[in-house]
Amino acid sequence: MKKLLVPFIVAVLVVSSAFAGGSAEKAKSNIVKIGLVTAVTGPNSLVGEEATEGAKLAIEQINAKGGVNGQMLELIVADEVNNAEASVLATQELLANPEIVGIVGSMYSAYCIAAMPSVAEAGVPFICLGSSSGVSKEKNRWTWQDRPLDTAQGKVVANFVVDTLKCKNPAIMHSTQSTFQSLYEQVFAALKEKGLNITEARNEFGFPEDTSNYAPYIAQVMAGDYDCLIALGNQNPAGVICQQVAQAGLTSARMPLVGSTSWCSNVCITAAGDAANGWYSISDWCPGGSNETAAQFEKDYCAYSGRAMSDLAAACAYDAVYILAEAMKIAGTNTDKAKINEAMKHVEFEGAISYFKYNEDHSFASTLTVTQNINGKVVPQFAIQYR
Amino acid sequence: MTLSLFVSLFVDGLSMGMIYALLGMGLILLVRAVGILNFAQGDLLMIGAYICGCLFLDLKLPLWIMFPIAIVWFALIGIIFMFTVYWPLRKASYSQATIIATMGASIVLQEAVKLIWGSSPRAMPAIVQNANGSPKILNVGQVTLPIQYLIILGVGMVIIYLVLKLFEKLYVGKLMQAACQDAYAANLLGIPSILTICATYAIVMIVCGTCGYLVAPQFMIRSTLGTLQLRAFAGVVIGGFGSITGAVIGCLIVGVVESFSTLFLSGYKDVTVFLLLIIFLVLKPTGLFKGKIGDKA
Amino acid sequence: MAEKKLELKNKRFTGPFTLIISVVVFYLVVKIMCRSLYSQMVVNMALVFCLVAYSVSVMLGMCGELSFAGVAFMGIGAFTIANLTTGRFGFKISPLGAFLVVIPVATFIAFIIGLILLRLKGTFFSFSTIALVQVAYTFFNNYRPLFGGVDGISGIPSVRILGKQLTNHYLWFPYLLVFVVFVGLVVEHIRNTQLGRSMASCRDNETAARVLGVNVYMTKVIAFTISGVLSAMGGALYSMLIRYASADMFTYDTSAKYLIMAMFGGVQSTIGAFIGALIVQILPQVLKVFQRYFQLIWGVSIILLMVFMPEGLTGIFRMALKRRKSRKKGRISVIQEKGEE
Repeated sequence: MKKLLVPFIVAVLVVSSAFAGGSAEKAKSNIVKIGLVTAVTGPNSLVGEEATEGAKLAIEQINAKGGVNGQMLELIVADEVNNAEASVLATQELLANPEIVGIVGSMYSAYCIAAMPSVAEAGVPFICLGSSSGVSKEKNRWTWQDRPLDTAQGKVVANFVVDTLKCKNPAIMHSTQSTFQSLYEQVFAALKEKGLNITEARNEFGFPEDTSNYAPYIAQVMAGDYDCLIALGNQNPAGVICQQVAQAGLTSARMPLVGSTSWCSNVCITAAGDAANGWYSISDWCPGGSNETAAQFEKDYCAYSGRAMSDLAAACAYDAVYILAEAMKIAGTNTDKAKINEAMKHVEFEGAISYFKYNEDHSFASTLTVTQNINGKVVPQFAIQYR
Repeated sequence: MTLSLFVSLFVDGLSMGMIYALLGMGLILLVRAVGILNFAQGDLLMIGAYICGCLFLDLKLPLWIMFPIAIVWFALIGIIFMFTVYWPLRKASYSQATIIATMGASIVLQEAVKLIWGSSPRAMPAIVQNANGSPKILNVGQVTLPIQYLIILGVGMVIIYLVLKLFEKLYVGKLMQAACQDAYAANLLGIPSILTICATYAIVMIVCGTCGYLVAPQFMIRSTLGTLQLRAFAGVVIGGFGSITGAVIGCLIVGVVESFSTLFLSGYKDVTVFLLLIIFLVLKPTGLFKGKIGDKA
Repeated sequence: MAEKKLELKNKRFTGPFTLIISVVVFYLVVKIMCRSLYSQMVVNMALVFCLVAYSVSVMLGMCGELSFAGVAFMGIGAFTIANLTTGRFGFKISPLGAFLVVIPVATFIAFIIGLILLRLKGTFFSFSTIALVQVAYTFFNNYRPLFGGVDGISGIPSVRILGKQLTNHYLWFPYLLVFVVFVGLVVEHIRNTQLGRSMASCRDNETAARVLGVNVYMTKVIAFTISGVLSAMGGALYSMLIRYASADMFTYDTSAKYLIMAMFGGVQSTIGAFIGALIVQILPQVLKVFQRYFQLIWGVSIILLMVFMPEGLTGIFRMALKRRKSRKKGRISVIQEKGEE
């Protein structure tokens, strides 16, 4: 009897201590809360730090201008570590808080997709920071995306490679992580559509996300008759790939090197140093951006965070907070989530990553920028309005 | 497949294999000495990379000063590691507790470097450079070979040779082996097992740390370098626990297979290594080479 | 004599009255404490992971083999559910029906894999299970027709039990609790059967077990199969709970968590697995205040746990009980005899 009861008491104590704290807190009247799901700990914590800084900066700016509908904003961050389960739990934690009127979701589309059923159930506007078109395919009424979708990105990459760089046989290296697998598929389809004679067997080089050795792929790219290297991946691999491409003696003089957004990221450039020179990047965000809001954001963010450059995570979290605030202003309410969600459709303003205007597929962005890394600096080449 | 592609894939595979081999050799030394599988082996490598990065990038020490200091640090960390995750657990009621403690240590190491040095990866310049700071590359006909690979191969072979020599030929090494095989008897003979275990951990950390320094220019200094250890495990199992030569050969095979597997199934690259491993385990559970000491776990 | 004593002890352990009281108390406490869907979800997740912790307890606690294969079987369970309920093969069955399919599927796969991997022993076996997890993950992540590739499979319908649609976590909770307790009883029962004792003999002394006529290989294969099925059930419930399945949920990294769950509570006891799963799942929510130091604290506490209580909570409890017993030998035993009646 005792044997069984004592462990149970322990379990009960743990359960109660876990939840006792939460309910005691009392609501402050003049505060509206916005949630952010991101990695505070674990291997993705760098992205998380930046997203948090971006969102906090936006909130400080909005509050300095008098808040939204007379109320001040406050950010609540929930930790998604690096897995879908923790991300769903984190989202659930925010959803459970009735004071939170809008949530800025994870940078990782797969995690957002996993969390979306709960979001729909709770009925809270949710801006997913991932760029996968898989998110919009779910047709979730409450979910929105502020970054250009990978369908658009695929087309822009294909146009740039075929029309501007005049390449016929590009090699495509990509991470097999969901975001980039899906981006790769879009790029491949768009290249095919452009009339290139490419096959998966010959032109695709998918690497597992946790690998560190890209040399075998690079050796194959160098040995084949490819005339362009397209690389799609996260920021850390981007830096390593730059480094290893340079180590293998492959330079932009030999064939154009085109990367996804990560290639113009702060992480990639500071980590790879000179090795990052010459890479083009088709990006939804480059430090400094392509419009005035972006330039202003760059200045404010660097002053706020003490970093040398801004990064994608910071910019899109920043914009997401502004979109939510804008929707709240349009709806004229800080409490009615359904109304705010409806008002998202009327949001229209110039944000840091793009000019935002509602689209059928629940995404807002409309511009991508082509940049090149020259002497350790990101130099925007031209912006592409894709719709 | 052209000859040049074959050669570059082969050399790349071998140099990766050499890194796995050094990690694997450390694993075997530990299995022999204390009978546990170290799940933080890759993280010891990562720590090595960070320490070298700290000495080289932050303190800007030249190579010949940096290296002895780094080795002292490695030895120290190895001993600290031993006293935290092995020594208190040596009399645990079941051996799996020690293995799980090393998994905990792996998390601690990864998070600690992030708290100390920040979460951004850092670049390490190649050991041999051109005048403009870019890594030096050897051109032999059609084949381009980064010098860094050749350095990894060379240094790796020297380390393996030294360790083999130490354990097979030198008196100290024999003492250490004796202490591992029967700690009680060795203690009776006056060989203090705590010293030999300390020495083993220090040696293992020095080997791993050096690996960290060797891979840093290629892989950068980052907290996820630890994932390299899984391939080292695979190589060690293929080679057979208990035999250093076997493990080295197993790891080299893993490196080469991994490198060539990218030719055919790039998305499934991970599968090839592990499927190879499972096939090996089923066909030849003892590994390629039979060890002197069986599995203690 | 010793045999009888053991049996008596176990009867007390799962005495039906105590059990029902405890479950009801637990139910009420959770009901009172969990005021939000989120906290309810945390508890529900913990209950699901209990099943996986049971599987560790079977393999490591009963059989003495360290296996990482749990997540691979969770994946198999989850993807079976996802495929059967979302109509990817052109037909749909209800989630509960699919759950019944998971069991034979997992039994079959686990048995075959067990036959192969258990030819190895100790560290070799542990390592081969890591290889299995890696291979499974790569296939989950890449093979679209069966596993939905990198996007995973979404749109698993909500479960219907007794004419009631389980649309939120409050409704799930009682069913989950009953199921997990029931499975726990089954596991506890296995421990006390001949099979359980054969397993224990393999763990404690393989040679002796062989001498006594225990088929060590087959016993371990059966244990592996049982633990595989337990994990697969956990994975299946997991996917039904969050209505989504993707490779990301079943990585090698997460397998450490399930090990720790079982270790924390005490790997040699079923109730230990239950408590361990609860604590390990809920503790992070409490420790969230430490934010970026949390992983570090987590790692350190794993080491400390292994150093100071390798037998887990129940191990400590058992030891304390033994110590007290030996101190007041006579009195205690009398009281306990009375309690028994």
